[in-house]
Amino acid sequence: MRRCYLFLSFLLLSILSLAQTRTITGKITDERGEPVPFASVKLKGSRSGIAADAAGNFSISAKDNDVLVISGTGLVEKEITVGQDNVLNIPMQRNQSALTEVFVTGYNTKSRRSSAGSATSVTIDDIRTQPVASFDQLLQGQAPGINVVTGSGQPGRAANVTIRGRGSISGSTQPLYIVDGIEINAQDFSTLNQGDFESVTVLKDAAAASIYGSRAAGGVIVITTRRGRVGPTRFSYDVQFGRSQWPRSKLKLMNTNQKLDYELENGNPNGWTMAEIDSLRNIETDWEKVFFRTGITQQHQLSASGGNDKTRFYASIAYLNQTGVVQATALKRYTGRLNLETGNDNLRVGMNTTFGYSIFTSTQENDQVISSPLNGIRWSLPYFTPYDKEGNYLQDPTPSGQPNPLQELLENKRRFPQWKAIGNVFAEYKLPFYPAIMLRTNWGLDYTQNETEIYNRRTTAAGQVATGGQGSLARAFNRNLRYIGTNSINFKKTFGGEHDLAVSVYQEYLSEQFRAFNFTGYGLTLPFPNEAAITNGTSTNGFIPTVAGNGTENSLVSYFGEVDYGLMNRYFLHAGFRRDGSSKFGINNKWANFYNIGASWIISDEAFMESTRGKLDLLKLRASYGTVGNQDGILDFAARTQLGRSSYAGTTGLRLIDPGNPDLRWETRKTANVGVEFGLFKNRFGGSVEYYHSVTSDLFYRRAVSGTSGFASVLANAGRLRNKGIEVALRVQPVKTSSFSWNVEGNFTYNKNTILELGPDGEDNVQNGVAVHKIGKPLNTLWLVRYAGVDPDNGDPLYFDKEGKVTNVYDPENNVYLGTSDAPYFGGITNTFNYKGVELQVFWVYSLGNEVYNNDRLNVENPGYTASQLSTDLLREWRNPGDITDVPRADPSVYFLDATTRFVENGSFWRLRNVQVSYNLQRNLLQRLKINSLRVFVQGQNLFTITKYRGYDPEVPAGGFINAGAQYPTLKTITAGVNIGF
Amino acid sequence: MKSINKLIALSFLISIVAACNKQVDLQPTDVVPIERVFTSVNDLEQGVIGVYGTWQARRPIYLSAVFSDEARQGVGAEYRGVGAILFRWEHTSDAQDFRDAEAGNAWTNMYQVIDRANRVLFYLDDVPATTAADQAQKSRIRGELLALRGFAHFELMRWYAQRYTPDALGIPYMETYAQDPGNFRPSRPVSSEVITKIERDLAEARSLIPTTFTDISRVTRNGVIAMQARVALYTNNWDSAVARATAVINAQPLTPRASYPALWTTRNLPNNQSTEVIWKLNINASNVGLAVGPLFQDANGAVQFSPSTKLLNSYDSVNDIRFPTFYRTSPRPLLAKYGVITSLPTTENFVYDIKVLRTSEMYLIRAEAYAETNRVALGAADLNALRAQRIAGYTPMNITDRQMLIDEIMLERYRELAFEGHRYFDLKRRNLPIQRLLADVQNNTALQTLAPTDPRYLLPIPQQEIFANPNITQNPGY
Repeated sequence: MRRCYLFLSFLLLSILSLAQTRTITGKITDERGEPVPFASVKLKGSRSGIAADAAGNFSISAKDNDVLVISGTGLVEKEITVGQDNVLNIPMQRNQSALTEVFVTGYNTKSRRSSAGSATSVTIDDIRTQPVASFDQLLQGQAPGINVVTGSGQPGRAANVTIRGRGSISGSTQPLYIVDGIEINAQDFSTLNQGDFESVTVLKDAAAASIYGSRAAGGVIVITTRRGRVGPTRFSYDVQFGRSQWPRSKLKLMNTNQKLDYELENGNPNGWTMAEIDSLRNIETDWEKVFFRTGITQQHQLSASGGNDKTRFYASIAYLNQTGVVQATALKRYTGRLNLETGNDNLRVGMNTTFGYSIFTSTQENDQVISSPLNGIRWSLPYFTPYDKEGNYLQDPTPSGQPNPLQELLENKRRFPQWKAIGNVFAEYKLPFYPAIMLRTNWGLDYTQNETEIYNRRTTAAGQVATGGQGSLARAFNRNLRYIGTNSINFKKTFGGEHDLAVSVYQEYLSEQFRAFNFTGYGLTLPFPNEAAITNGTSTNGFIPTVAGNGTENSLVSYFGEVDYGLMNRYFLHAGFRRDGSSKFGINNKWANFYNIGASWIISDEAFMESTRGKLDLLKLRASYGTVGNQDGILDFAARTQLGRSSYAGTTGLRLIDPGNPDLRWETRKTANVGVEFGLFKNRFGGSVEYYHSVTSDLFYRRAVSGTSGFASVLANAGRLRNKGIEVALRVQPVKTSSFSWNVEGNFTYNKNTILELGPDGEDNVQNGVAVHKIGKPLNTLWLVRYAGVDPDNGDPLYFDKEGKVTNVYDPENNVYLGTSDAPYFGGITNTFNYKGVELQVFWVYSLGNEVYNNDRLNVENPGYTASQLSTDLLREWRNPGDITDVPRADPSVYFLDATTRFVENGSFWRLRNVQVSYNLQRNLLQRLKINSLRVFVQGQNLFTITKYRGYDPEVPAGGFINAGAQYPTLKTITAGVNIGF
Repeated sequence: MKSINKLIALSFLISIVAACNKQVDLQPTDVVPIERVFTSVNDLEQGVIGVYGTWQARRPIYLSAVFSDEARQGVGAEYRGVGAILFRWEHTSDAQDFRDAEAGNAWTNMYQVIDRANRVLFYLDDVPATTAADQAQKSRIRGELLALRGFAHFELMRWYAQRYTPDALGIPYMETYAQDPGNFRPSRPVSSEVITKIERDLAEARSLIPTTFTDISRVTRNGVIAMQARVALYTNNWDSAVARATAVINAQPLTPRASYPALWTTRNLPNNQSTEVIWKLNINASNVGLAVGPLFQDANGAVQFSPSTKLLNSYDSVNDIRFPTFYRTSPRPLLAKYGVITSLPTTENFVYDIKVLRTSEMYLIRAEAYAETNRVALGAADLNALRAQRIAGYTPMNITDRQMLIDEIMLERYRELAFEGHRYFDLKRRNLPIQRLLADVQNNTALQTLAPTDPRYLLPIPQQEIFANPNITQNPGY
């Protein structure tokens, strides 16, 4: 049965409006009736306005139904509709705190004062100019509750962002990103220009995020782009240049003499003769120097903004070129944007559009593959050089199998161009006969087109292992189109002076379509670096190309609404409901309901708090409870029993690929949140403290089934996960004089993640590499045998057994639960100093209390890999009875057991993420130069990191509890730039 | 300011959206819901190809080689530790090699084959076949599916049956697919029950597949009979073994010595009965992931397993055509049966068909059946006939002793069927220990002998199955 839920149609509303201009006079007062001097009175939607006099009196020309907008320093903006009275006495409310701010939810704008939910706005101006191509990386340390692991320093790589802890085991834990009402993917930020962003809001609890229903379990990050500013067209040009350096590694490798001596003492695995050794001793190659260069960043943006009371626009063009410190890695980006809106008092239409084109050239990272060039830095022998005297690539002749990593890097190509277009159009209509009701429709699309080009020259190791052994060229192409349409009816009205009511109902449709194809051609015997080199495949030459493709789609239909009620501008209630239907789920569970309720109370405005005024500017309590869902991280048709393509003997057949599960349903996260916000001493000290408690249930879970069914597991829902934590945000202004100010802002988050329930059959321990999912423990808990050092008598590695006794027998039965790799404590601290237009901003981030399995270290401490480069740690390995050391003897017969705590390291770090010195030119100079503003700055990123972690970077790649190897760490970058407004 | 009369006419259409369930009722485009697929005989044909594509014939080859005395581990930096646990007999039921998707585990894969076959069989009867050609094709498809189902169950018996005797614990027999996988928890019946059902499936398949169907990448009638012969061998059903092997030998004679190397150097043999290959699983670029070669040697030439010294020493390296065909000794001992890399750069991609059933196995089955029934001369004749096609200038061996004949047959199986997934199962079948040379175990005497009484001698049912299905009895020792 097909049910139709909602049928909205508003057709042809014609209005005739006639009015006459007259003069309105009045007086502006505060709540106590005291006159407010010099407030601004404007006609809404026009540029004409006047200022009241010192006694609060004003006089302005207006028509019936015109709206007067009264604003002023320290006042809550107020709108008054001109009625029949020609004299208006307007009581204003004093702005008591920063709570007059608003924040965007993506569907509407909310007053921070009344909000019951947990939403944090990120100060975009502080981070926009940081030279990082993928915007999500910049969120690190900016707001409590958001854990950002940068994971990679490769230009253009996305970060791993988790809001309030991981809420899913096999589903996605990424937040939902919304740009101007359109959902986008985190990995596409490298093709978006953050210079266009105007506001960034992080929605964390149910009351704030629940409006996103089934997609909001990971939190929501809402971004709006700049709107035009009323006034003459203003231009601004932002430019910066900079250089990046490779950070030093704490993991030290042997030099030539150390390595050769070590080899000689350990059976000469590479079989050198004494003569060869003598000649090799003259070579000392620093493979870091071979690979690394100074990375160059340059960024330009020209934007224009302007408009009048009817039409306003914002436009920008921008270019970014960032070269990585590893040769052959870079990101180039070209973007453009036009935001335009027009209309009158009743109807507004507009559009926000952007296009982007980026070219990402990269190298493999986060693996332990021998042909990955970044592993070559670690594994190449110091007594080889990348080139011979004639400049030809040299090959490592030893049995290590290590290809020349520089050749792999420079001869092969990995290029990923992306095209992106995001646009939305909207129309808002305020009913002329009843302006409390506004109708709005918003339609947006996000189009992404990716190309992948991986070229392996036939002379390289990667080319030789390709089919046919003569190189390969893989080209893949995919496109993703997502469009979303939202219609809403919004009602907002104040009754009887003290009842504020806002009601909105929405209906939304989202559809996503994905298509991809790829081919790989072989036999690149011709000198062309493209398709022209491919040899046509025959049944005998082994060069038959592979061609494949796929496509999928999903859709989401939603109906939702919310109600906000405020009493006396002190007591606020909020309730929301959303019903989502998703194409992804089983026929029995396609639809799900999500709801949320919240309340807040401005205690400081109560009469009984009168005595504290002046000291306590704000005290607000809020609480919320609600549900959100997750449908991300499963295949689009995971609920269906499907046949897919099977290939056999050159023919294709049909094969069952998934048994399906008609009962598959949403992951649901229930969150309770309480918070207190405060401001003291004229808001020189303020902040918020929040506690949250959330439980995600019905986790996506591959339930193990009897293999006799022909399947190992069936995707089902089972298990529960809890995240609870405390978030603290504080700001203080220790010094404020007319010429100098010092501001400190900091945030701290503690998140405790606990698995409450695993599979449906009482599973309590699911292993996941060196980590384990265990009931009562956080996700990604390391589970290993404790290493107890070395037996001084015979050099055997020693372990602790379950009882803590030392044994020389390795037994996985002795595994113990260690720490988790997800840092429980993290945050950021910003110190800002201002002195006569010079600003110094020092921004630290920290992440504490996690553990990382350092597989990168393991690979250079493994005595089985004597033929390739090793760590200097092995210089202190056990040699003779009585040696006291922590490195066991290098006897190949000692089976190398690596699942021990020997390679577990503390992943905590403090990092000086950004330091910026800037200077704003004084007004008189600006006037002489005939420009509006000029700001010059110098900034340094990641200049200093405090960590015990022995690798390039404690921030290991996305989602990992393991630093696999081939790490591309976060870079040290220094840039200088100028922002000119004219 | 002059007052202006304004006329504002607005046409505003917010939207007309009929939002119905149909918008969230999308149909996939790359995959199809099963209930809509099987409507014609051609669809059934696609389904049966899907079953062949599921069968991973390399699993028993890997298991047998690593676990028994066919292979030795790689050494030095190039050895990535592949199969070390299995080679060292240190496996538990949860060892990596017995987990899903690992090359050592037949449990999941064979039941996948069975399930996919059962799913097609489920829809087969309802598919209309109006023309005679359609009816013939439908009946043949049914025959192929039954043969695949029966033989897959037999493969599981080879791996997991505790002994090949009627009263020993067998494996669950799936006569139809599991409707609700989440709650499907069968237990293990005794072997005789399973064998009866295997024999029934194979017998029916034999009657359904016509002799005119000669595609050896599929199960032909010769293929079914060869499967029956192997089942007879494992169940000591000697007379049937002789009769079935004879039927195959007569239909598809041995490939002679001169053309024997081409059997192995040709990547994709023609899909007809011109060679002694009775059933092979085709490997080409699209399913290269199922190829055997990469199990033992990496694409960069790194050796994970090489032929054991014991195996190499068992041949007459000068006159036996199999020695240069199956192996390389320069620059070092390497397996060449499924492609080999001796130097870089290379064009070797290990794309070689996997031969599952060959006529030479039929000779050895018949010889063993003769020996077991005290027809030593007939058995010796079969053995000598096979050797004459493999060894240049071979003088027929005079064998009169039954045990000697059986020993010679075991030796010949070791040589002829090396790295074809037989050795471990042959030893288990005859209750013999695994014995390795000291040279093949890096002088570690602990890895030399594994007696049939050792708890590690039997293969475990994967632990995953025990967790998911408490009704399954684990093999002793795990």
